[in-house]
Formats: sequence, C-alpha cells, structure tokens
Amino acid sequence: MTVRAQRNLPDELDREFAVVCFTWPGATADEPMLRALRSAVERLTALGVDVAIVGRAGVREVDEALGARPGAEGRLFLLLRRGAELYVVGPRGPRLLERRHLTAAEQTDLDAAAGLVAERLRGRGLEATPVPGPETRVSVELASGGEGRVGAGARPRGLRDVVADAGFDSVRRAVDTVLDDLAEGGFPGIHVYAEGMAVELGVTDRADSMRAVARLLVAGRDRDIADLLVVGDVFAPVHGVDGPDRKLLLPELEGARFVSVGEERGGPPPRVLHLGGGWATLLDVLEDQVARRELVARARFPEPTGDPAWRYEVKGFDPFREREIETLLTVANGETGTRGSLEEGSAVSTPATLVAGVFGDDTAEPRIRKPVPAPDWLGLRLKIGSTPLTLANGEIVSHHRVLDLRSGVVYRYWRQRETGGRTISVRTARFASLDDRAVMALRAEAVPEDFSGRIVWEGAVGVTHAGGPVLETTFEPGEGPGFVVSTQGHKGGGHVLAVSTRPAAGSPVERTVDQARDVIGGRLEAGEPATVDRLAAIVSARTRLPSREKAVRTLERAGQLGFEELLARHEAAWAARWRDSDLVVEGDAAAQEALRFSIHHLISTAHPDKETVSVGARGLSGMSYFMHVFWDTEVFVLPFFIYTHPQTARTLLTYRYRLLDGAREKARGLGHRGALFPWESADRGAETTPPYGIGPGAEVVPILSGLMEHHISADVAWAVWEYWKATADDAFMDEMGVELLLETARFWASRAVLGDDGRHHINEVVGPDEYHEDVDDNAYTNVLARWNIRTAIVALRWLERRSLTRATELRARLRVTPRELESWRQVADGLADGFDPATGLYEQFKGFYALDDVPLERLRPRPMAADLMLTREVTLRSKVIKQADVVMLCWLLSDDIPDEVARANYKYYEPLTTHGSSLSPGIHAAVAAEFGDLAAAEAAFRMACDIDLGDTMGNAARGLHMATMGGIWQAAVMGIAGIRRRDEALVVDPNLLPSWRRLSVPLWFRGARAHFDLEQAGGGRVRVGIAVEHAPVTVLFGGVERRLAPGAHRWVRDGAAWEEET
Amino acid sequence: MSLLVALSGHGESDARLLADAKALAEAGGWDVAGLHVGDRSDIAGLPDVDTEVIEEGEVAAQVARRAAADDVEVVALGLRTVPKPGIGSVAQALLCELGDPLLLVRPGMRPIGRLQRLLVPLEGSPSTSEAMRYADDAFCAPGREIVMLHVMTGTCPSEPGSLPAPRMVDQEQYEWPSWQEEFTLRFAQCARGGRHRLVARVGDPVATMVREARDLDAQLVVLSWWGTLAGERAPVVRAMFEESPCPLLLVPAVRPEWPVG
Repeated sequence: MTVRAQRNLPDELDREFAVVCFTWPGATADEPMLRALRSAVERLTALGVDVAIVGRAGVREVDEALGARPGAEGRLFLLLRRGAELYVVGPRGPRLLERRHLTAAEQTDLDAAAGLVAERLRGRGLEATPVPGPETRVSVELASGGEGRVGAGARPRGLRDVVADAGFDSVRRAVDTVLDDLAEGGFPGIHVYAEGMAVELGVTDRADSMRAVARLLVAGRDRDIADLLVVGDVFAPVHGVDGPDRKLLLPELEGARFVSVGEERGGPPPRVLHLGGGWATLLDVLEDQVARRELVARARFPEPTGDPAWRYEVKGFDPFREREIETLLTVANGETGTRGSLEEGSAVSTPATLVAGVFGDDTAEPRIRKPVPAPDWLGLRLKIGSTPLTLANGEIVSHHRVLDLRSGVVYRYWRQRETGGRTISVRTARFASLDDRAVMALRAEAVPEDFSGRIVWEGAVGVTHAGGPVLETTFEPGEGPGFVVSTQGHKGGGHVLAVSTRPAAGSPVERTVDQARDVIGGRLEAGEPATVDRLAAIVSARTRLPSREKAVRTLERAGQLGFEELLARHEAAWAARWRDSDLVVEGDAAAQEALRFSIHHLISTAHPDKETVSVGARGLSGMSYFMHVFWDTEVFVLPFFIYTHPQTARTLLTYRYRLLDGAREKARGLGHRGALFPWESADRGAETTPPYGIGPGAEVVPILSGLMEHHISADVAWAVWEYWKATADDAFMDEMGVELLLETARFWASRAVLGDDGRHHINEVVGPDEYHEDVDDNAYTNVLARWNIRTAIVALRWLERRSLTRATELRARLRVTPRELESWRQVADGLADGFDPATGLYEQFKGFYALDDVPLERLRPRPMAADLMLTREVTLRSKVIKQADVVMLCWLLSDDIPDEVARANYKYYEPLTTHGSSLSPGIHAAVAAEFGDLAAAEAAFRMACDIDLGDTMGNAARGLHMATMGGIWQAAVMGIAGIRRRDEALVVDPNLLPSWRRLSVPLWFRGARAHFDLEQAGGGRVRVGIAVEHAPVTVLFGGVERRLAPGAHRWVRDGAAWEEET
Repeated sequence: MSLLVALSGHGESDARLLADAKALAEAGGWDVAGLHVGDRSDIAGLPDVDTEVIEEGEVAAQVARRAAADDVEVVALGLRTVPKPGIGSVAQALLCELGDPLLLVRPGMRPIGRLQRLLVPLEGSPSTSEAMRYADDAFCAPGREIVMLHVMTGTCPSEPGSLPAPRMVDQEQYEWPSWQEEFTLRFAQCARGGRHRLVARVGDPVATMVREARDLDAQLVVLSWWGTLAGERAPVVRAMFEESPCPLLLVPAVRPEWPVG
C-alpha cells in the first residue's frame, strides 16, 4: 500500500525513510513540543523506523525532557555529548552502548592544548582559565569582564561580546584563531567549539555521531544511504561561524536527505533542503513519516479464520451465561490460563489469570493447599472523554466473540451506542503464547464511528489481596511503562507479573502514565482507530517469590518481538500441535466442533516440559477443584497426549514420579508400604482432599475419597504402562516407570488382607462409583491392583534384561527382595475379584448383587445426580451406579480382559449407570462404539460433548471438565475410529457413527507417525487409508498382524473381512 | 409510588388485605391507595386509607385503569376462600391483564406483619428469575432475608443461561459450593445488605414450596408470572393460590433484552 504525504511537504520528502535522524532541540523546545516529539518518536519506532537523536547535551537532560519509551529496545538511539556517547533506548529507558574514553596521550594532549589556548587568549587580553570539561572535553573558560548593558532589554555579556574585547569580530574568528594556535602548537586533531562562556576542546564532535548512525543504522542494518533522513536546525554559517549542524554533512553520507528547519540566512549549504519553520517543521516531517505507515499498519489487525469448523462463536451478551462463556473462551498454554472475560469487566464478570502448580496453605478451614491466584493482566478499560465504555452504558449494537481453535486466539467484536448517542466499535485479539509460555498478549482497537473526540485506553491489573492462600500482593511501576505486580503465597509459591500497554504501530494515540494505570489515548477523528498492544509476562515459582527481574526481562523480550511477531510464533506453535492431533469429522458439524474444542483445551492446558505441574480437574480455566490433580489426568487425559504429543505425556508422568515420596508418606501414614498417591494432589504429593464438604442442604458431608479412593495408585501404574507400550520410551521406563510400578505394586501387596476364605481382599475402599462408599473388594480396584502387581514384576524383569546393574541398583534402593516379590505374587493370585466365569460378570463390589433393584425408569432421564434425586440412602442400598466402574475396568485392561467379558459387563452395568459424573459418558460412548451399539455410543458421546458446550452440569462457569474432554477424544479415536493399542500393535476396527462419513486421525505410536483416514464406503464397508512416517507401525486388521512400512497404505473392511487395496 | 388495594367491600377480607398491603408497602417504601367499585358504605368500617370509590363499573376494568397510572407499583387483591373452586373472575381477569406485580391474599394465610423473610422459588432459568430481581429491587434490605428455593426435579430448562441443580456431581465437596455460588451470582445480585440464602430441595415443586414457606416462616412468596392461565398453564401458580401458607406476590416475567446479536 502506498500512501501519499499527509502534510504539505516538498516532493523530496514524499517517501518513507527507514532511518530518521534529527538534532536535539534542547531548551528551545517547550513542553507541548516535547510531548508531541515523544509521541512521534514512540510511534515511529513502533512502526519499525530507526530514530537517532544527535546532540551535545547529556543523557539525563535529553531523557528527562523527551521521556520516550519505545516498546522494544533497538529502534531509538541517542548520540550525545558531541559524539562521545551512544545510547539505545528501550522500555526501561536509555542504556549506554558506547562511550568514547580518552587515552592517556589524548588526555595529555587536551590538557596541553587547553593550556596553550588559555595562554594565547590571555595574551590577547582575555581572562582565560583551563578547567576539566565533561567526559572527553576540556574547557577554557572566559571571564565575561565588564557589566554589559544595563536597564530595560539588558542581556548579559555573551561570548561574542567577550571575544570582541580581544579584537575578534565574531566568535568564528576567535575559534579559527584558536584552531590556528592549536595547529601551530602541534594539536591538529582537536575539535574546538564555542560553548557558553567557554571555548571547549575535544576529540569528538557531531560528525562522529553521524558516523555512528551510518555505521549502525545504515550499513549495519543493510540499508541504502538514501534511506537516511537527517533533520537539523541551522547548517549555514551565522556571523561567520558554521551552523551547529554543518558537521552532520559528512562526505560519506552523500545520498542521504538533509533538511534544515532553522534560519539559513545565507541560504542552505549544498545538499541541504531548507524548509524553515523551526521545530514545528521537524514535527511535521516526523508525523508525515508516521502517517505514511499508519494506514498500512492499521490494516494488520489480526482476523480469525473464516472456516466455521475452526471457530467457536458466542454471539451477543448474556449476563446469565457470562461466567460460563468466560470459561469456554479461556486462552491458556499449559503454564497460564486467562479466562475469557471482557477486558473492561462487568458486574457479572469473574476475570482471572491462573498459573499451574503454584499453591499456598489456605488460612481458612479446611486448611488445604490452594492455588495462589496470579495477578490478572487482562484489564483494559476504554473511555470516551472521561466516560467509561461498558456494555451497560447505552445500547449494545452488536457483540460477538470468536475462539479461533486453530490458532488459540480469542477475538472480540463489539459496537456500542453509548448513552450520549455516540457509536464506537471495538475489536480485540488476545492469546496466551504457546511459543513463549510466560507471555500473554492483547491487541485492542477502538474506532469512533460517528464522532470525533478523545479516546483513552487504560490498563489495569486485577490483584488478590492477603487472605486464603495469599500472603501478600505488591504493586509497583515498572522501570519503563507498565507495572510489576507480585503475589506471594502463604507457605508456598508466588508470581510476578510484568505488564505494559503501548500504542500499537500505526495508531495515532500516545502514552501517559497515570499512577496505577497505563493510559493511552488521543483525540481521534471519526474512523480513526485508537489501537494498543498490551503485553504481559508472568513468572512463577513453587516455593518462593520469583525474580522480579526475570519477569521484566521476559516482558522486554516480548516487547522486542512485538505483538505481530509474538502472534506469528504462537500460531506456528499451534499449527505444529494441530498437525499431530486434529480429528476431522465429515458429516457431523456438532461433533467436529466438540472434538476440536476439546483438543484445543487439552493442548492449552498441559505443559510439555514443566515436570512440577500436571493437569488439574478444571485445567487452567477456573478455580473450582483448586487445580488439584485427580485420576482424571492419568486415565482420561493422558491417552490423548500419549498418542499426539508423547513428550507432554512423559512430563505428566514425571510429575507423579517427582511426588513419589509424598505417596510413600501417605501409604505409611495409613499403615501401609509402597506408594499411595493422593486422591487430590497439589505441589507436594501430600493428600489435599478436604475432609468434609457442604451438601446442597447446607449439611456437612464427610468426604471419604481422600481416605478410601485408593485406585488412584493403580491408575498411575496403568498410565505408566500405557505410555511405555505406546511410545517405546525405554529411557522413561528405566528412569522412572519401573520404580513407579514397583512402589504402587508394593502398596497393593501391603494393602490387601488375607481373609478367612484364604483369599486376599482389599476392604474399605471407594471405587469409581462413588455412590457406594466404604465397600469391600471393589472389582475395579482389585483387578487393577492385581494387574499392577503382576505388571510391576514383568517390568522389573524387563529392566533386569535391559540393565542388570540398573535393576540391581533399583532393587537395592527400594529394598525389593525375592521374598517380597514372591509375597506379591501370592497376593495377586489370591485377590478376590468378584468374577463369575459362568456369567462373565464382575460383581462391582462384594454384596452389590444383593442390593435393591431400582426400576430403570427411575434412573431416567440421564444424566442424573441419583444420590440427590433418589437420596443418598437409596443409592447406597441400590444397584445404581454413578459412573463407569466395571465398564471402566474392562476398558482399561482390554489387553487382559476378553472382549466377550467386557461386552457382558457393559450390557449388565450400562442400564444401571446414571452418568452422575462427567467422567462417565465419554468412556461409555467409547465402549458402546466398540461393541457396535452406535445409538448408545452417539447418545453418550453427545452427552459428554454437552457437559461444557451445553453446560449441562451447570458448573462450566467454574472451569472446563478436562477429563470429559479426554473422554471425548478416547470415544472418537479408540471407540468410534476403533484405533486402540493391543500390546505393541494398533488394532483398527472402525465403528463410525452413521452420520460420520469420514474421520481422520493422526497418531504417534512407538516412534512412528500414522495418519488414519477412515471413510464409509457404502454397503457397510469402511475404507481405511494409513499414511505412515518415520518408522514402521504394526497394525492388527481382523486379528491379523501387519507391519506397515513408512508410506501410504489402503485397506477395506467388508463385514468382518479385511482386504488390502492396491 | 403506591400500592393500589382493590377493595371488594367485604369487610373482613378487605381488612385483612389492607393490613397485608400496608405491611408490604412499608417494606417497599410505597404509599397505599384504595379502589372500590360500589357503594362507599361497603368500605365504611375499614381503617383510614385514601380510597377512590367508583359507584358503577366492571371491577377488573376499573382496577386495570387505575393501575395503569404511573404511580402504581403493586396491586393488591383478595382471593376467595379455599372451599370455592378457582380464584374468581376479577382475580383471573386482573392476573391476565395487569402489567404490575400483584399481591394476592387469601383468608387464612399467615399475615405479612413486619416483612423479614421472603421465599422466592426459582427453577433456575433466566426468564423465571424475574421474581428474584423484583424481590431484590424492592425488598432487599438489612434485617431482611430472601430465601431462594430451588426444587430439584432432574430436568433442565432449555433456555440458555439456565442453571438448575447439577445433574452430574463429580466431587461434591466442590460441586455444591460452586453451583450455589454461581446460582446466587446468576439470580441474586443485590448488594444492599439483605441476607440471601439458597435452599435446594428435591421433591414435588408445589409441595416443597408450601412446606418450605411454612417451615421457614416465610411471610411472602414471590413468584414469576407469565400472565396467562389459559389451558393447563401455570400449574404451580394455580396450586399456590390455594396452598400457599402466606401471601403471594406475582411478578410479571419479562424476557431480558439480552442476548442481542
């Protein structure tokens, strides 16, 4: 886009210059002039223009007067003290890059030269005294002599008057004479300047500044000399003395454009374009350079994808749903999550920024570990004049938000006709960077549609004051624009937020700092945008307040990149993740939306590298469940990562490994050995389940899961095995996996008791079906415990084969003896499991069959909180199940439990299941699909999808259901696509829902990347295309094992028969 | 603003209606005005109240006319005694015509007295929470408690923004506090110092409302009202006419202006 000059400037300036250099106006500029200059400089640098300011003043003087703070360091340079100092200016102010130091010889020469000059001047009758000058200079001060004129209009005697006393007709003559004296005295390289009432001698001058500009900003940045614009005051001689800017005209800068804005009485020197008009003309020139770029920059406001299959949209504004919407529109990156609140807030908003893994002790009962809330960076208010613009101020003309699932950016479009009748349109775009997980960014634009006036953006930070898990919050200005806010947890970690708001490139607004706010605004004409970029960095630590400096540096780094580069990197990071995880459904738009929505938030929530954090039940989108980690992570969420991003899965398992000591401590505390992971885990591995809760009738309800829901240890063991089998990550198994399996197995061996019947029992537990607490021999718990013990022994044997040394060391460290292993085997072999070979059924727990039957119609409609609707007393004594329990067991241990047994148990238990837990329907959908019950699969799948997108639990306002999302993925991939691990191979046996014409599934499996493309081929046939990369993959087609080499493969299933297509 | 009392001319029931109307007006900060269609002598024995008497005319139409004036906030009306079926033609007509809240008092109901506790049944949908917004606006004050009663039925209104009790409860130590907080935020947003309490119960809605109103000593039940008794509509309101142990305030429900496109 080419934009003509906006101001009345000559044709020679009708172009963009990449480098703009001007001389510092110094004391001749008043405050409005300086403010305008700062605004122009900041906007020019934001637009990518290098600005150099040349002057003789010191850095403090210039910086205090100008106060420019570019968003990033590297665009604004100060070349001061007549070429002796070079500074670069960034968000925190000027930083010295180069300073000319005198060598000993130069110092000697200067002192001698000054002595010589003083002597010669004294010889001409002047009172001259050499004194040390600033830095690289020496002065010869001249006494003013005489009183000069008195009375009205009197002025003090100046240098010109003084040198006139010595017979010089001008200062220039005096300087020339001094120069002659110096040349004669053997000091030809010394520069002489008239300064105040002194003659200064130095080794540098403005020419050195210009050489630095040419070296750093022209040649150093690979630019043409014609890209340089130099604006000076006076170049031509005045009273016989060269204009102060004459020295800018270096021969080597031939081709650069020089402009004079001062008086050039004798006409400008060659190469200089004389404009006149003083410093106001300098501003015109700068503003013209800004204007040429603004329209181009304005057109760069990011836009979401137009593909509806990648957009989650919320139209309008419903105050009843707003907190729910905030959850759904959370932007997160595994480290931080920012709820999708309105930037300006509202009476119904609950904005929050959450950070994974930072906890403190709650100071209220029950005293459990709770997340330390991070300062919320998102606040950004808009004012028209002094009137805040909110949705409640006047009439909402339109309001529309879009979560771009592909890029992880939330866009907002809002038009408001405020009470006074003025209409303004606002758009914003925000993200939590997936590229740099400490960084968050927001661009906001406001355009007055039908009026002109002052538009102001005000940044704000939401803080949590002392109380609960928060010990202290402090708030302070940053060194540059913006603020630094620290929140310290009580006996825990803390956060430091650095945040700043700046005019976006191309926006005609400027920054002022007003105490606790970043204030940016300006008077705009109708149609002109006020655009700002708000960047934030949060650093956190688990056990202390982190380094303030680190947060500030991170923010500066982000500022250097700028919003657009940050966005580009963020989008690239998302693209890489989607490549390995996108599920494409043809024929079912609702399912497609739910799948991408779930995958998006799964990716958003887990950190691939940070081993001290895991995925909380509600992810990073809400404070419910206090970001505690449950079995949800290993059993429901982890499979997604195992097959799409194994590194993240490994990190999540490492979290458990790091907290093994806490699990050992919990087991020990209950009188057992080995490792019992806490039902609710935070940062230390200790149990964080509250001992009681408050029920719907305000009654106190004892919570037994922390005491009795022990299957979590087997769940972790299962996840270790699943990860290893699917990834072949032997190093993980060697370093962590075997130890996790052994310690959990040891727990089960010690937890089981030998009964009078000669069998081992695990009593007083809570299984996944939490309607029945304190039960004995829960099948899920016992069978998984048995599997855990046997698998640990298998894993130990594997380690012995891999590295006997390592295995011996591990056994010694854990004190695992052959005798203990034998006792484990006996426990495993003797564990009661409630299995009846005649029926193929597992009894869910001892005594389940004896419970009351409940008419099935009382269990409808589902989902149902049956303990509430039927009362807890009824559910306790009835065959009513909260969620998949035995069904879950069969799903997890599909390697071991025959299909016919799994099917029989599904048929028996499914009708008894109320889906009173968000964990239930996803797994039921998967199992139903596996058994070909597609109607039930679809019903359960949609039930799972509606939990967040339809808020059917009524609690989406408090956070997303991460386990449900993992369950949705498992249902689609493992159930409906029918792609599951069987030992070290993949089974493919699709069960596509009738409306799903095509389903595409990318997976990582044992080092190979396999992309499955499943398609209904008519007549009940399903065509499967498999693109294999990196390594061969073993696939079971109808029970027949095929090793598929990298490349494309096509198979067709017709009935039960598989055939390879050529 | 004023509370307009439609006086029937039946001394005892008028006196009772007037007493409750005055109690409610005091709580709401309104004046009380009377309207009687008939002979002035019909209301001769009533306590002093500024009453407009219209000697002839159709009662419902006259009340509606007077209620249409800007200064009328609430209309109070006496219901027939329980043994008679239905609520009477005047009440039925006014229920369907008035745009103002309607205080209904039946002989035998507990008197309002000094209003200290209101019961507002809420099914958890935005459009039926108008009663709560009105109760908050008009009566929320220090020393007064508004009890929100949610009767759990296991069903979910289809209206966006609805928040019935959850049908899935993963971990009750988190779910109930979360739901209660969100329910309160969604449907009760008064910050004037009155006490709000959410009570969740399972059971038949009418029976539960009646029981809770009685057990909690509620002096007023506030219900949202869609303005029609056609067919079998408004079964809860119909049942409450007869069974409520205390006066009813029916608040015309208006769909919120949001969402907007």
